[in-house]
Amino acid sequence: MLEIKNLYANVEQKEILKGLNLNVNAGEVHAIMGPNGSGKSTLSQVLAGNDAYSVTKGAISYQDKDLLDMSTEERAREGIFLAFQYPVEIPGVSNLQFMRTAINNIRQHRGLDEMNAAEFMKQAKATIQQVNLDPSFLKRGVNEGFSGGEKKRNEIMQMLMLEPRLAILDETDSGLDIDALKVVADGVNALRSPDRAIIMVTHYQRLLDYIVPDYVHVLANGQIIKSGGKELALELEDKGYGWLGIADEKTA
Amino acid sequence: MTVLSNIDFAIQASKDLGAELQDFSQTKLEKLKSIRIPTRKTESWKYSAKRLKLTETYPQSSSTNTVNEIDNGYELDCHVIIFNNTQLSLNELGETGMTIKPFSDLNEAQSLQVVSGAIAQSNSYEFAIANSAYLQNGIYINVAKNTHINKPVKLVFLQTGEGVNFPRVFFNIESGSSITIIEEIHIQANNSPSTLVNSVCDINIEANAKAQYLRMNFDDGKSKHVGATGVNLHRDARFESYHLALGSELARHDLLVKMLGSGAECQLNGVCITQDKQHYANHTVVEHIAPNCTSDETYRCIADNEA
Amino acid sequence: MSDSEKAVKELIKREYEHGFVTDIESDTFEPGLNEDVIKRISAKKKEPEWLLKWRLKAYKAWQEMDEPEWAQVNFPKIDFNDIAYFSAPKSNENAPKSLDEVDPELLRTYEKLGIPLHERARLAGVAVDAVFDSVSIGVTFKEKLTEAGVIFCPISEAVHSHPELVKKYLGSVVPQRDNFYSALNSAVFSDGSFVYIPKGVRCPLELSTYFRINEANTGQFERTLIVAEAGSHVSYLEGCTAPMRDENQLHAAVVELVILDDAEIKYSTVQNWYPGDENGLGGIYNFVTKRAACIGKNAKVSWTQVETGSAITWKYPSCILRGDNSVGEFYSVALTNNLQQADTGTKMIHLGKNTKSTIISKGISAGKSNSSYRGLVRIGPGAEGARNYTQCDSLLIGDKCGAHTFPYIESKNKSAVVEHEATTSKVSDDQLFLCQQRGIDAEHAVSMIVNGFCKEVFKELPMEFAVEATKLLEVSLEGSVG
Repeated sequence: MLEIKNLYANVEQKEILKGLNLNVNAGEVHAIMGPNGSGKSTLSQVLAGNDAYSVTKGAISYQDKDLLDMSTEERAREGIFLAFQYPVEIPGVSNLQFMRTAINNIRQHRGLDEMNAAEFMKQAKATIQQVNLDPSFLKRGVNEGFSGGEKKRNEIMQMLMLEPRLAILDETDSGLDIDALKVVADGVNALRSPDRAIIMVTHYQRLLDYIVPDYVHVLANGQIIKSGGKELALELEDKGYGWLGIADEKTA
Repeated sequence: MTVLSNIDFAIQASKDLGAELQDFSQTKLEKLKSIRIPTRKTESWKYSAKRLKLTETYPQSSSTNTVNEIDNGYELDCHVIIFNNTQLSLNELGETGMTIKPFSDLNEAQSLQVVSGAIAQSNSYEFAIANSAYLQNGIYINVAKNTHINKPVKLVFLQTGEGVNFPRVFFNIESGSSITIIEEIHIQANNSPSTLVNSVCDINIEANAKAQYLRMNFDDGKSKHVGATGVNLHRDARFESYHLALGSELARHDLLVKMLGSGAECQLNGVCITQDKQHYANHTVVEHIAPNCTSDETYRCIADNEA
Repeated sequence: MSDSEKAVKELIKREYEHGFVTDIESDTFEPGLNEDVIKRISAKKKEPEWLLKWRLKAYKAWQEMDEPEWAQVNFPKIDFNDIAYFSAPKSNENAPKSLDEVDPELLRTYEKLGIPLHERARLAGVAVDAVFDSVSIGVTFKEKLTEAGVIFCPISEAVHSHPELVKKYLGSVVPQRDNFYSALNSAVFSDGSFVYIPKGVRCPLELSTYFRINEANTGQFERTLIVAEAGSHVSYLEGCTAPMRDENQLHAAVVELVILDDAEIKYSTVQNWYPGDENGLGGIYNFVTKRAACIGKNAKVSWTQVETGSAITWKYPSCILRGDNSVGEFYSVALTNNLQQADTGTKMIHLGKNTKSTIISKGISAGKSNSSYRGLVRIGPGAEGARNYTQCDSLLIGDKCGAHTFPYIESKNKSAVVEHEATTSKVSDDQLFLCQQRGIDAEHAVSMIVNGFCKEVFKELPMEFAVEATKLLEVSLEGSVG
C-alpha cells in the first residue's frame, strides 16, 4: 500500500529525513520508535502533505500512485488519515459540523451520496461513546477547551468516522492515562482489517502492549536503522536507545 | 533588622545531610543575607506584608511525641507522613514501586535531584530560601517507572504551640507513572504570635507521568503559614492541582510550574475563602518553555466582611 | 508558493461582482456646494418652504463646524466643493405608477444586483423601495401595506403626503448639529425611506431598500426616518451595492428610528460598498450616523449589520434607552481586507429604569487592513437596574492586519451591571492543515472558520440576508495565512 524510497525531507532549512525507506502492506500494523529529534513527526507530516516540509529527494507511492503529486486534501480523500500529535483548536466550528463536512467531502470523492443528517447523528453519537467522550462534546468547537487526553480521543473518534485506508497515529499515546490509553487502543484495534494499514509513531513502549504491532522500526538520524517484530520494542524499553548506539537528543 | 537572615528562627541546617545538600543550604544561607524582609514596597508582598509581623526571635519548637494520626474530618485511606514541629514520622507505609527516604539517607544523584527542584533553583521566593538555608530533614519520595500509586500520599505539616516548622518534601515521579499527593497544614497555635509554618514541596514529573496535588489548611484562622510548591514538567507530563485555601492571619502559597518538555499539560484549580479580617495570597507562575504545552488556571475567590 | 497559500489567494481574487455602471442619462448638478445648490435641490423635489428653511439652517450650522479627526482612520482631505450633490436618472421625470412602467433598463440593473424586483416581491413578500442614486424608484406591494395602514415611501413623497409626521420626527433623534456629517446630510439629503407603523400594527412584510451610487463624485446623502407607534412592530432591511469607480465616493447618511411604548424595530443591514482595489484606491467612504430613540416604555430596537465594503467605514449605530424597560441590541460583523479601514461600534445610552442592552461585535481583519471597535456604554444617574452585556471579538487573518478596541464604560448609577468580554484570535496554518487533512480544502476551511466566528451575529439576520451575508463574506475574503 505504501512504499517510501530513499526519502529526504527538511523543515525550516534543516534536513531531518536522510534517506528513509519503508514498505507497508494492507492489513499490517507498523510501529515507529525513535529518540527525540529523529524525524518521527516529520515522517507523519510529510505523508500527510504538510507543505511546511519539503521533500528534496526520494519517492513515495501510495496504492500505486505518486503520493508526492497529490495535495493534502486529495491524500485525505484517498484514505490517508493523520491523528495529530498536538491537535489544534478551531473555536466556533462545532465537532459535528467539522465531521460532517469532512465525511461528505470524502464520500463525494468516492462517488457516494452525502450522508443524511439522521444517519450521521446516529453514527456520531455511537462513535463518540466508543471513545468515552460525552455526546455534549459534539456541539463544542473542535478541540475547544479539551484536555490533552480528550483531544487525542477526539482524533480517534474522527478516525473511526472517516474509516481511512492508511491511518497514521503520531504519538497518539503521549500524555494519556492508562484508561484513555485503553480506549484509544480499543478504537485502533477495532479498525484493524485486511484492507487497512496502520502506522503508529510512538515514544513510549506501553502502547504496544495494547496494540500489538506486526513490525517495529527504529528511526534515528533521519533513517530507519533497525526493524524487527514486537520484541524489538521491549528490548528498547529495557536497554534504551544507547544500545543501538544512538543518543537521545533532548528537545527544547 | 531589614534582612531575613537576621531573624532567629531557632533552627539550623542539619549536619547530617550529604555534601551536596549541605553546599546547597550554605549557598542559600548566603543568599538569605541579601533578602530584605518584605514590606509593602516589595511588589509581591504589597497586600500581605503588614500581616507578616515577624518577631526577632522565635522560641524553640516544643518537641512533642510522635503523632500517628491526624483527624481532619474526611475518610481516605492514604500513606501518611507527618512533619510535627521539627519531628518527622513515617508510618508503616509503602507500595511497590515507591521509595521513601529522609534527606539524610540520600545518595549523590538523589541529592542533586532535590537541588534541581523548581523552587530550590529559584531565588524569587523569600521564605523558600529560608527553608533551604536552614535545611533539616526533608522527605524524598521516588515513584518507579510506569507505576501507578494506588493510595494517595498525604503529607501533614503540623504545628502545635509556639515556634516554627519548615517542612521540606521532594517527589521524583519517573516516566509513565502516576501519584496523588495531599498536603495538609494543621496549626494549633493557641494565639501565639511566634508561630510560623514555612513549607517547600518540589515535584519532578518525568516524561508521560502524572501527579495530582491537593493542598488544604486547617487552623484557627489566626495563624501564619507560607508555602511554595514547584513543579518541573517534562515531555507529555501532566500536573493537576486543587487548592482549598481558607483564610488566616497570614496565609500565602506560591505555585511555580515549569513546562520543560513538549506536550506537557497543567491544570491549576483553587477555591479561596476569606472572612472577618482574614487574608490569603495565592501566587501562580506558569513558565511555557517548550512548545505545544497547555496550561489552564481556574481560581474562585470569595471575600467577605473585611477580608 | 505553498499549496495552501495558493488556494487561499484564489479564495477571492474575483472581480467585484457588482462593478458595472448603468448607462442611463443622469440629471446631475455640477460639483460644488453653496446655498444656491441647496435651493435647487429643494426646488427639484418641489419641497415646502419649511423644509428648505430646515436645510438652510443645517447648512449654516455645518459651515461653522470642524471636520472631526479623532477616528483611527487616515484619508486624504475631502474637498466638499468637488462633489455633485444631486443626481437622478432622467427617465424618472414621468414617475412610473407600477413596475410595468419602470424603465426596463433599470429593471435589468436590479436583476444584475440579484434582486429581480417582481420575483422577490412575489415569492418573499418583500416590498422594495429602490433608491437609484438620489431618487427613489418603484414601490411594490403598496396595496398590502396600505391595507395595514403602514406608510412606506420615499421621504421626498412623505414630505408632501404626511408633512406633520415628518415635521414632528425629522431631526428628533439626530439633531442637525449632532456632528459634522449629520449637519451636511441635513442640508443636502436627497432621498431615503420614510416608514410609519401605526398603533398596534405588526407590519405584514419585511421592508427593504436597495440603493446604489452610480455617478462619479456623487455624494450619497440619504435620509431615513422610521417611526413605530405604540405596540407596533417592523423589520427593515437595508442592503447596498456600488459600482467600481476610481474616485472616492462619500456616503454620509442619517438614519433615525423612533420607537414608542411597547413597539419594536428590527433594522438589518448587509453592506457591500466597493472597498477600493488592492491598493486602496477608489472605494466608498461610509460616514453614517444611525441612531434609535426608545422613547416609550418597553420599547425595543435591534441593529444587525454585516459590513464588508467601503474604503473607510465610520459608523456607530446607537440606542438611546429613554423609556423604562427599553431594550437595545447591536449585532455586527465587520470585515476589512487589503487596505480598508474601519472605526465602528455602537453607543448604548441608558437613561430610563431597568433598561437592557446587548452588544455583540465581531471584527475580521485580513490583508493590511485595520479595524477598530469603539463602544460606549453610558449609564445615566436615573438608570436604576440598567444591564449591559458586551462581547467584542476580533479575528485576524494573516500577519499584516490590525484590530483595535476602544471600549468606554461610563456608569453613574450604583445598581447598574455592566459586563464586557473580549477575545482576539487568529486563523492559523495549523487549523487549515487540520481541515485539509480531513479532506476539506483551504478555501472551504477559511469560510467554515469565519462563519463559525460570525454565527452569533448571522443568526440575528432575516433569512435571505443571512444567505447573502455568508456569500458576501466568502467573496470579500482575500485571506493570506501564515
